[in-house]
Order: sequence, then structure tokens, then C-alpha cells
Amino acid sequence: MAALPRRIIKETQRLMQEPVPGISAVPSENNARYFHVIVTGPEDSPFEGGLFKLELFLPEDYPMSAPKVRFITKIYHPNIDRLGRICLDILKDKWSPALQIRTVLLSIQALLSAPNPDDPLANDVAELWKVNESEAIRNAKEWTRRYAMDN
Amino acid sequence: MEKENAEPDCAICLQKLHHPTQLPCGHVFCFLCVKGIAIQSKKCAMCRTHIPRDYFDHPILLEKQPLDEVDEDCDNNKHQWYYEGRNGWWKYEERSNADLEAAFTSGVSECLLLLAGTIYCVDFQNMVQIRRSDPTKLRRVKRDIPTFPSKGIAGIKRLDPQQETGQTGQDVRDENTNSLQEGNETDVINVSEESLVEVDNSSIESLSDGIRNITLQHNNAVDGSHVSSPNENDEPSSEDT
Repeated sequence: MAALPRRIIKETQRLMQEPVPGISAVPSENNARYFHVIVTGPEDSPFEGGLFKLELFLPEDYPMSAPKVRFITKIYHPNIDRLGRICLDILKDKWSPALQIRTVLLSIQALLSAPNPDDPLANDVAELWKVNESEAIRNAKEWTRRYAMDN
Repeated sequence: MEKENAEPDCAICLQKLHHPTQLPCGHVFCFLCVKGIAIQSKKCAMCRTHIPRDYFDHPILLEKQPLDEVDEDCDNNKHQWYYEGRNGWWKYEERSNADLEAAFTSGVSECLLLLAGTIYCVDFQNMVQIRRSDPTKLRRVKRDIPTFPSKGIAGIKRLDPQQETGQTGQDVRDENTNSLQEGNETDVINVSEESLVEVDNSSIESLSDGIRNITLQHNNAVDGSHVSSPNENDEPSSEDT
């Protein structure tokens, strides 16, 4: 019904023409504001080798409001909860309309490289990450293998 | 990527800057994009510096006279869309105008616009613009020749003093209203059309069509020479004339 804002068209075109390494974002066929996203687990992180599915939705007043992003693939990470919700400041109060789909997804990928257990969303995960990091990393690798590989 | 030496795009709409407007921190965006962030986050999109509440009392426009009648000679073939403000009509900004015109000529009954971060529905049957989140906020709209006397473009007040007389507060029901109705500058605030004007609070009011004084700057110079009165009827200050 609504015409797609030019900015969304432009971002979508650029995502297709100049994709970000390790990230793919493809708009849904029936809703150009809904993107199917795949982020590869960063090297040297417990998520390496995993392919993580996310969904990203651009609200009506995007880019004045942040995109809504959620992990679909289960992930063991102190800043991502069981429902896949992500604790990341730029998705909330630090959002700026100068950020883009591309920069948001890069930030999420960076969050996988640098878990921040001091600002947790998944409390049990964050707790373990703080008291026994090696076990937490083992869990994260195990979840990556179990949920984020060969699919 | 596209044009290497071209002006940078606006970081908010990702398009060529339309009516480039500079914030106190120095960052430049389209006028309507600045309006959007001034309403929503109240911070610069680049550096997050707070945007002063009264910024739109004196927005810094980096463009010379933005309100031109660029191509007067081919008027007859072109149409301009207007929305009603206090005491007159504003032109829609170029991009919204193109969207409206395209929608209208394609025969659909309405057109959604995202203006300064807010969604509006323009209903072609009733010729009104309705704010989606609050349908009581509505304004009349019309399609007319580009030279119809207007207050300016999308909240950027016309600077041409001859055109700036301000229409009276009379009910402008007649679409053929023309400049003959102008000339009475008094008491423009107290009019029945007030209810059509979208104003929810003082900060938005200062952003809406009550934009009183526009400081026009060619490139960099910073404000300082302007003393402007908050009076509704004041002419915008201009260094051009």
C-alpha cells in the first residue's frame, strides 16, 4: 500500500550490489521491509563456523526509529536471550538515523566477537561468562555446532 | 559510489541534499530530515549533539533563495501540491510533491508520505492530509499551479518580501483564493483555521508552519548578526536583500 521510501530502496540495492562480507540480508518477497539475514560467526570467536539466521524489520518510521532485529538461530551469548532478542545500544537509545541496515548487522557481528557480560540480557549465560568463561565458551561452541551448522 | 565528485548525500535520507540545513554542531542534512531528528531524538544523527529546542526559530539554511519559481514558463504543464497552514498554503517539498503527483495521476485514492519521521496519508477524495498516528491532525491539501502564492516550501518560509505579506486569517475555502486576499497582516494568529494546524506541543509548534525567521547563510558564517523577534508576523531575516 505504502510506497517504499527511497532510502529503503537505496539501502536494499546497495546491500545487493556491495554485500558486506559475512553478512547477507535479503528482503522478503512479500514485504520489502522484512529482511532474511544470515550472519556468519566471526573468526576466533566461539561462534566461528556458524551461520546465524536473523530477522530484521524496518518499522514504518524508519530511519527515525531503529530496525527491529532478532536472532532466529539459537545462540549462547550473554547479550542475546532465548527469544533471540539482542541487547545492543544502537538498537535502542543509541540509534541514529545515520546508521543503516549494513552498520547494524556489522555491529551485531561485532557483538559476537565481543560478548559483554556486564550488560547482560541472558542472565544465566552472563553469569557463567563471568565466573567461568572457559565453560561459557565451550557452551557457546557447542550451541554453535548444534544449532548453527549444516542447515 | 555513483558520482564521485558530487555533493555528499544526506546521511538520513541517503539522497541528494534537499534544502541543506546545518545544525549548530556543523553537520548538514536536508531541512525535512533535520526536522525529523529534531522531533524524534533531538540529537544530531552524526555526532549526537543535542539540538536546541529553539533551533527552528533560526534554522541555518545553506542554500541561497530556495524558494524560486524555477521554471515559470512551463507552469501550465506542471502541478504543485500544497498543504494548508496557518494563514496560507505551504508547498510540499519536491520529493513529496513528486510522490503525490505520481500517485494522484495514477488514479489511486490516497498516498502515504513519510515527512520528517511522521507518516501522513493524503486522501485525494477529500483532499486532506491526515496524520496516521493521530487522525484528528489534519490539513487540507490542494493541487494547483506552481506559482500559486505560498508561504514557502515545507516549512521553509519564503524570503521574497513581496510575497511575504501573509494571507489574512480569513477562511480560505475558495480554491481560487489569490493574492488579493493578502495585505492584512494583523491578527493572523487568532483564526478558525488554527484547529487544522497540527500543533501538539510547543516544541512541535516551533517546528511547524510557525517557522518565523530563517537565517540564511551562504556557506559557513555563523549566526550572530540577526536579532529576530518571536512575533508571528515578522519577516524572515535575510542577508540577501
